[in-house]
Amino acid sequence: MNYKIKTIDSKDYIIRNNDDGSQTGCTVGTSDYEQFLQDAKTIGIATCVEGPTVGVTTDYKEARKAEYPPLEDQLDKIYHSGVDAWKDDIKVIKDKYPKSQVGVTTVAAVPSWVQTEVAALESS
Amino acid sequence: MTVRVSKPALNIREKLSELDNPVGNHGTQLMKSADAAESFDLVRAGRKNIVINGNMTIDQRYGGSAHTIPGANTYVLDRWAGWSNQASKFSVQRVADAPTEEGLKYSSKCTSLSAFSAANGDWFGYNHRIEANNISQGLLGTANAKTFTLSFWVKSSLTGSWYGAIRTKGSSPDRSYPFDYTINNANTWEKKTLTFTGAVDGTWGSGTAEGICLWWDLGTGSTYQGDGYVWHSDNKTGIKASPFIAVNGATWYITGVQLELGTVATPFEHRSYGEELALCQRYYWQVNDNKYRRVNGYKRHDSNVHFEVQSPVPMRQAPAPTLSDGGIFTNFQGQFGSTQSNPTISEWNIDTGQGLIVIESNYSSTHLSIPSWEGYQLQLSAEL
Repeated sequence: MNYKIKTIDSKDYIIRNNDDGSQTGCTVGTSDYEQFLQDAKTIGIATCVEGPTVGVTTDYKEARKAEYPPLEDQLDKIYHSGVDAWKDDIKVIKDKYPKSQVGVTTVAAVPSWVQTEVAALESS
Repeated sequence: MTVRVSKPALNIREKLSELDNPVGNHGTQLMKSADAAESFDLVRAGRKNIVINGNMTIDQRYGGSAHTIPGANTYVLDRWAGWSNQASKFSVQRVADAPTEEGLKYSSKCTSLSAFSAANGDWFGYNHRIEANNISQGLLGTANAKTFTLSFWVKSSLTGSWYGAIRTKGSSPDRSYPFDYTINNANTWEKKTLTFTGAVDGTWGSGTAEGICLWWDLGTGSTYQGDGYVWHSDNKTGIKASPFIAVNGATWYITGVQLELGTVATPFEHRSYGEELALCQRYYWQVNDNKYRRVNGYKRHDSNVHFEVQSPVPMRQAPAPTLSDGGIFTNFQGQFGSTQSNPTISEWNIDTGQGLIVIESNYSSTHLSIPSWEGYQLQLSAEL
């Protein structure tokens, strides 16, 4: 996908992923937006445009990692309260994010206005 | 006493003849002008060049490095773009090579990267798009359309007939006016001029939209060729194909481009560097050296962080932001360890050139102020 729709506060924006790794926000009215419509027309919307991301579920490993206390705090816990107390704390996090939780990104369909704009370009 | 006074003989016929000598044709026209307005018009005084960066001095993006044109209209020098539907067939570069006659220093250099055989529907060109606001005095598309004169310096490794067109955007485009010029000597600067009267009909852009496009053809296919020196009601880029793209290593240079009202090609108008840069920054500017910071952004409930942006001059419209280096967030001491991407402009005031840029960050905290965003590389484009 060369282009990605990003929705902020119910408004759609076009992000182009460039070959050099940079990204461009293709603001309406600029030559970048004109190029977006041209690419959508010649390459095809289904091929080069991805709809907005509407939901992201974090993989259980990443979710647990983000929530574990810093290592020095964990060692402190073991020193003062014992291993069992430390295991109880860690288990709460493990139960919260079971291994069945995999990372999923949910992408919505490309909004219909894109097709409308491309159709207008084709008729001009 | 008799005093004799003598003086040299006066040749009245010679004196009358002298009166005619110091006044050339232009002087005679000036003396005959009816009022100040007519004299002003004859002298071509005041600001005249409608082209921005016609002396090819400003090159914010590449600073003199060559750039290969992909299959899209691509700006290299400020306000100047190479355009082809075929990727990687020619490169564009600002070079310190220019005719000395008019005090020019830089030129645009196009280099053909292969011996490409263009299909009928292929196009290759070097173009300059002018905002409608800046050419409204030409009354294009009306019965009172003005006459313009285009002048430019050009040189090439290839001699013979070359082509171009005056085009209006309208719809893709709505009107076009093909012309030709001859390069007589290889690798030698030559000045060319073209006088044309604007089209009296057609759909022409207004306001901040594209008003007119100057197109120098580099080998476009036959689909876009048409008779010269007439306005066509469709998209023509030249009378025939220029020889450039079919010859590997061919070079074509252009500079000193001036478009002015009237029938006379006057000397190139040099503007100050600062003025020319400001004119270019209406369409593009960048922070590309990782040295500057924006302060006091705000990260809200999601991954979006908002920072204020103030452009050097009011831009033509809300720009398209490109983030080529996401930089870092800091508190002016320690780093937040985050990465930034996906820039958009959420708000923009055209009159003041001030707005909000929104970037995504993987910094996990939300609802907080980001003290400093630094080390980034950001380009803002409002090109036509």
